[in-house]
Amino acid sequence: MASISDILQYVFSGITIGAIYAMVGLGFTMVYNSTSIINFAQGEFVMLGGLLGVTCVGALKNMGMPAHLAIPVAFVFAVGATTLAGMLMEKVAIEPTSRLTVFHYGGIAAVVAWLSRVVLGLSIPVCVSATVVITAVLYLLLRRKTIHAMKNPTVLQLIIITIALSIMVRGIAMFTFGKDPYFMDHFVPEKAINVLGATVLPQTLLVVAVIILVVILVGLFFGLTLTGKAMQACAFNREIAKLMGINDRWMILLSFAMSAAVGAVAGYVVTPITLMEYDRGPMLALKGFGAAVLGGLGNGYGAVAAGFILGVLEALGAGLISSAYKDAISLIILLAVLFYKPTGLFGSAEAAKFKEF
Amino acid sequence: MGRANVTALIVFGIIILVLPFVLTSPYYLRVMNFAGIFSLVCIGLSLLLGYAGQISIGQAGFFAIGAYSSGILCAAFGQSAWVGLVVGLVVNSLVAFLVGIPTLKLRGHYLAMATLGIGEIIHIVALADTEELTRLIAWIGENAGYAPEAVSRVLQPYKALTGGPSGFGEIPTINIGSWVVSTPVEWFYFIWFVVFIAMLLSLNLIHSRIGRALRAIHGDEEAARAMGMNTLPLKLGIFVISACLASIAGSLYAHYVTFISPVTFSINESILFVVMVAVGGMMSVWGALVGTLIMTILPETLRVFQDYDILIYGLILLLIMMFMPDGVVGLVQSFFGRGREKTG
Amino acid sequence: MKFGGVMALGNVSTSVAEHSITAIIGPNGAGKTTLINVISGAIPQTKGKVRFQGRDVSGFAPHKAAEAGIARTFQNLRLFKHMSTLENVMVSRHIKTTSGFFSCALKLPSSRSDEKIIREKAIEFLDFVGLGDKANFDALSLPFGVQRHIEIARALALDPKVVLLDEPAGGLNPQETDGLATLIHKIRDKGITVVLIEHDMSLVMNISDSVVVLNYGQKIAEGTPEEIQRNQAVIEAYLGKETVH
Repeated sequence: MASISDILQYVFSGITIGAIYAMVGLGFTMVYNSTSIINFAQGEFVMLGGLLGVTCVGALKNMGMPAHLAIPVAFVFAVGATTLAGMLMEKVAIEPTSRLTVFHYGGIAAVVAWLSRVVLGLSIPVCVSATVVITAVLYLLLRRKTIHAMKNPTVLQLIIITIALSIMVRGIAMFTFGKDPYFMDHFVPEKAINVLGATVLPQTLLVVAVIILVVILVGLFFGLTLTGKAMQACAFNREIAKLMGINDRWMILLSFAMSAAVGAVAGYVVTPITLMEYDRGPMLALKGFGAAVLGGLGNGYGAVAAGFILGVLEALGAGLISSAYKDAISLIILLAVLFYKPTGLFGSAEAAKFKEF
Repeated sequence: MGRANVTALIVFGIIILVLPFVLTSPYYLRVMNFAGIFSLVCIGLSLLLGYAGQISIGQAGFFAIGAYSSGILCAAFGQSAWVGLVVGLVVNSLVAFLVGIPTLKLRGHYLAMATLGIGEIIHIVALADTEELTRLIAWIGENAGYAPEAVSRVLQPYKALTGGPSGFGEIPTINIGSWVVSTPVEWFYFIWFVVFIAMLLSLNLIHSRIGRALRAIHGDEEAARAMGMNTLPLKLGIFVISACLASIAGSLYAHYVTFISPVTFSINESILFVVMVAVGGMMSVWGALVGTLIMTILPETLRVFQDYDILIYGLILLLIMMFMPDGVVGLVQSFFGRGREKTG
Repeated sequence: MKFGGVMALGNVSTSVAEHSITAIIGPNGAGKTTLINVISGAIPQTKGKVRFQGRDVSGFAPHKAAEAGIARTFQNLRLFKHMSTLENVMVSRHIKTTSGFFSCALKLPSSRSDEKIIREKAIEFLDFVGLGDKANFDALSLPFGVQRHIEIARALALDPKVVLLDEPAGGLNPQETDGLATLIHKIRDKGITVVLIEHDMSLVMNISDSVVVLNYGQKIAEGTPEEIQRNQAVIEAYLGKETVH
């Protein structure tokens, strides 16, 4: 029989992993509320936050920056870059515009830069000039052209599109970062704290603190700011929101940006404990979706709470039953939730009825 | 089923009969054999996607169950190929049934996630070390009140069950009466005969009242219900069929390659099947066939892109969904002006 | 019938005589479509019962209501995409046949004869509404007025006892509306009870045997067209309390 301290230990590790599930679940909820789409690429944002963060911290430290500066700077970079990636996804594939926008050109520039630096291994000056030249040429050629992407994609098409996006991001990550896991030093000294015989890492406490901060900020955003309320209006009924003068496309872009940012934050702060590799995304997306459903699809706070619950249950299962089947355990919980209570613990059936999808 | 389809089937049949005489190299035949096996999975997926409008990103799981059933029963327990096939079908039908009943009542995203989850669970079970599996079964046994000695006696055969991450081999080939399927040419005819039958039965189904009911559900589920259709059994039926086709494909696969390991049955394969169906055209079973052929043959010719394949699949899928949602077959159909007038 | 906090239908109690044409009218938002949704099972009711031919069909799922003999059309036209006119109507004959997955896949004789019967019957219904020559066209490619008729044919193909038409004249010009009136009479003459929601008053007054008026989810009047036209409450509901003619 497992002791109290063992169980407590499992709970602590469960909280760490649950924090990621909470953030992914929150991200799913934000996008679902504004677009009725489940963004299968949600897990990739976490992965990008972690991998970009590690790379940036390493680069900054190499340039001589001290750790306490490098960590916040890399944080801003990792979260910012991931947010841009999320916005790019939305602009290119989810609600494609008929003319190429600055996002498309930004994306083209990023792709050219990536190809020349990572794939072809050219030197930095060549890469920069190639990026500028090619992007400029493409702009001149394409600025009058319209894209004839499919109007009004069906639910099925959108699901497949987000799946395709997640594959692409994963492929790019594999190429850029390789297949091995990445390490990052803890942000705070690694002295374990003793609680009733179980040890808690300070980083874990930091993770929980950051997550709570994010949830508070998001809650304040939706509750107090005009933009937040506009987003909620748009989520409730897009047509009417448009009539009220709300720019619905910006709102959707914003929801994607926020969900990407939230995922990246989680990925960044958790990587010191759990490491990060290029293909962590799908499993995170799956479990994060489980959290979102468990919490009641559409309920942001519910998703966060459910994420932590799921993490703890998974850790307990891994510790008490079997660690090889740890993933299977949370997936079974996910399936059980999908099967028996798709409205989740905190969701309302009525709210679900009014959603198109 | 319409003259176009009958003609297509006849042409298809003739091509099957003649192809081995044209493609004599065993390498090409091997590629075609794999294409045949995968197209079985894709035909099932296309019925689900294109006609019922439901998505499954877990077909590799059903494929795996078929393969492992045949593999284990034939290699470890010396059963005949038919037993392996039937057991695979039964298990898969059960799983599809259990997953489908709750999720098919809900909207598309739920089934997508549920199938993703089931596929992953199956992958994990296949991948898990036999030690862990043994420990799990022992834990269940003890907590269920069985004595430890009895449990370990039962566990002996399970030791070598899935072979864990390294898989297992020595799966015997198929024999029908006295004919033992051994050469690439023999496999070609065997596999593609099964594919032909699958196409025939699928086309029959599509052009029947069931197929029409499914298309109605895909077109407008609420209106379909208002016109008397009980949508759950219909969707469930087609989901089980798609699982069974994947099961048959899996069993064939096990006997063909004689060695199976979990790496073949991961989420990437499930996604690849979706790509195949999307590329060929979701709205037609011929699309499944065309898409599979394209996506099996193309990587062989583009060997230089080996490492990029995951990225390229994603890009192809994205572009097709955005600009050509009816795939290659849809493009051809609109080119010939048939458009959507005559469906199927 | 409550949606969240909104009482969409409260205390609407009415009965429809067999083989009659009953119209349900009322200002927008009065709850007319909700009433049809409740009767046909698209939405379950929160209180009260729906009785049909002596049976309690409250809370029946839509497909069960259809089996029981209740057919409906949709206000916003919900024809099946990617299917021809004929196929749209053939769908309704699904519940009149029973060949299952196996016999359809193997094209057994039972499935073949089912198919033949379905097709013949569907053509009959298309002819009934006057669309026999449009059988093989993609349903959604045809003009709006034609699509409305396809929806009606599809509902009739269920061989229902009652058909609920939700704003069948919406978007039709006067000629088409006249054709619709004739069609509705034909339907009634076949022995099918007709309930229709309509805003076109001349159509309503012209063909209905009885009219039910809803406002804000309540029934405010019921009677023959003449009685309704004179009814004070009805006039107020439509024109507001100030104007009196």
